[in-house]
Amino acid sequence: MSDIDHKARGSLLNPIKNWQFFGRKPVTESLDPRPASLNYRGFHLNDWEKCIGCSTCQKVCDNAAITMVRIPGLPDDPVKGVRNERPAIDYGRCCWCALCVDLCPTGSISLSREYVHTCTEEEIGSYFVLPDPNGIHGEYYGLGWSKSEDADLVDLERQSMAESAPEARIGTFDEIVGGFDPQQAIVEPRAASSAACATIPVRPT
Amino acid sequence: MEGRLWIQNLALVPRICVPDPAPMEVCYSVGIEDIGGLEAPERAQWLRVLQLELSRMASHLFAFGGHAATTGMYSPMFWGFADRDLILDLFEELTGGRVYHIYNIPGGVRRDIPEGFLDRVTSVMDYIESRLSDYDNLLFTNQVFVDRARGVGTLNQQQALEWGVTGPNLRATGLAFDVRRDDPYLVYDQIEFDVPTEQAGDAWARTLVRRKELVESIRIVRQVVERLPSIPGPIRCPIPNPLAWNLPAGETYTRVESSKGELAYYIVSNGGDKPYRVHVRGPSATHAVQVLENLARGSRLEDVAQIMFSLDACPPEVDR
Repeated sequence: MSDIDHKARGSLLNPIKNWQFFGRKPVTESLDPRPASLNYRGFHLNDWEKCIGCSTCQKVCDNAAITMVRIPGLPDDPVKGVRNERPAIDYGRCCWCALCVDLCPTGSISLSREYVHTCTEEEIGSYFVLPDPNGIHGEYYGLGWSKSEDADLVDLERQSMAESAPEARIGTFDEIVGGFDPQQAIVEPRAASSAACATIPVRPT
Repeated sequence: MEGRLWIQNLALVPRICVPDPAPMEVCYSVGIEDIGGLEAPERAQWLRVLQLELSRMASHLFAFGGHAATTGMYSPMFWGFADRDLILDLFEELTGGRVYHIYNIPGGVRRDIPEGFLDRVTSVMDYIESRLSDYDNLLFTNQVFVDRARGVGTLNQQQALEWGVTGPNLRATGLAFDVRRDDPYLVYDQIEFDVPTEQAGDAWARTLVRRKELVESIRIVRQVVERLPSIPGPIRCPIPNPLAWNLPAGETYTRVESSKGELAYYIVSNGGDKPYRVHVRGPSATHAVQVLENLARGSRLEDVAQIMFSLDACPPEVDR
């Protein structure tokens, strides 16, 4: 049974007892901005020196909030895996899950401790942001959620190639084409062109 | 969810229940671990319990504040919101997010506790415990509330079982069933806690069960705070590249006790990088649709709101 007695009636003196609340610290607080915690997942920061434009952040983004934007003048060398693209975030879609941070191979992208952005309807485009090291308003609010050893999800081991069934393997080169990733195709253009022929079925021997 | 990578759904699942998002991510992560043959390290399991119990407390403070508001008493609601905010501060510090933690990942959790965090948890627990007598005075022994809530929206144990009622709503009918105790997951079998029940099965009993569970959650959090420093180790086991993670074919049904009731995930993998099927068995869809419909029939119009809130259903989870 309950240890709270529903029949218990309050004392007539209760209103006087309630005066004690005047002596207590108020539970409400002012709305002044306060610094966010050290792990806070706020607006993005991106170190353009470290970023290689690999678009891993775009691939893992579960809300399709990231668009890779081409920036002329930045290093662009597909053989080395460096592209002149940088991620831009649509804050109308972003949910601040920070999976882009945990999967960034170079650790260039991180989240800041900045969390306030308001604008008028005319400035609605300001929700689409190309993050740089200083944050959305150019005022660095400090590093929030960044890559740590615990949360590092990058796995640079080569993934094993999927194997087709023998009857599929005997007829085409599909298995080789499927296991040949686009990055490798850029490095080995000749192999890529050979792989392109693989869609033509060959006669089983 | 079937159109997204396994890991991408982690950001989606907390949205299914806004006031109590932790069980969603834990249940989904444990399901993937089951299929993938992973086991979260012990420290991660204790951290998950800490997250789950803090989330339960936040949700209960929200729930009985909401119930009070439907009877015209707004102070308990404001107090509940203010006290819940202290728990959200803890979440902000631990997980980086106040409401949607996205703290779990298949194989463990994403962050260890920051320095001095456990002391701050203890002081928040002390504070909330000190507030309970205020809540009792303001709400639970307040005759206005007691007279409004007692005898309203009553369901008996047999009806509760027939209608698929779980969680505090079931325990308010006298049946002490709690997944944490009766089908333990994580490290709940190493933790001491009681399963509070009430007999009446009415709106007042349901809210009172939540009030008592708040005390049990404080008790569990205190045990986690005591044990956590002595549990070493990693907080996550290695997982394959999430972008090319083909989970082995298989299926699993994992269940946890959320603040609303029994929450379960049925997950099927066909060996691909995305789920073949994910079904969420949530408590709120049952409570807010067929149970509310049955209880509301014949009740007074002004009581419908409090019957609804006393069932503590979560609208995003009902909409499916």
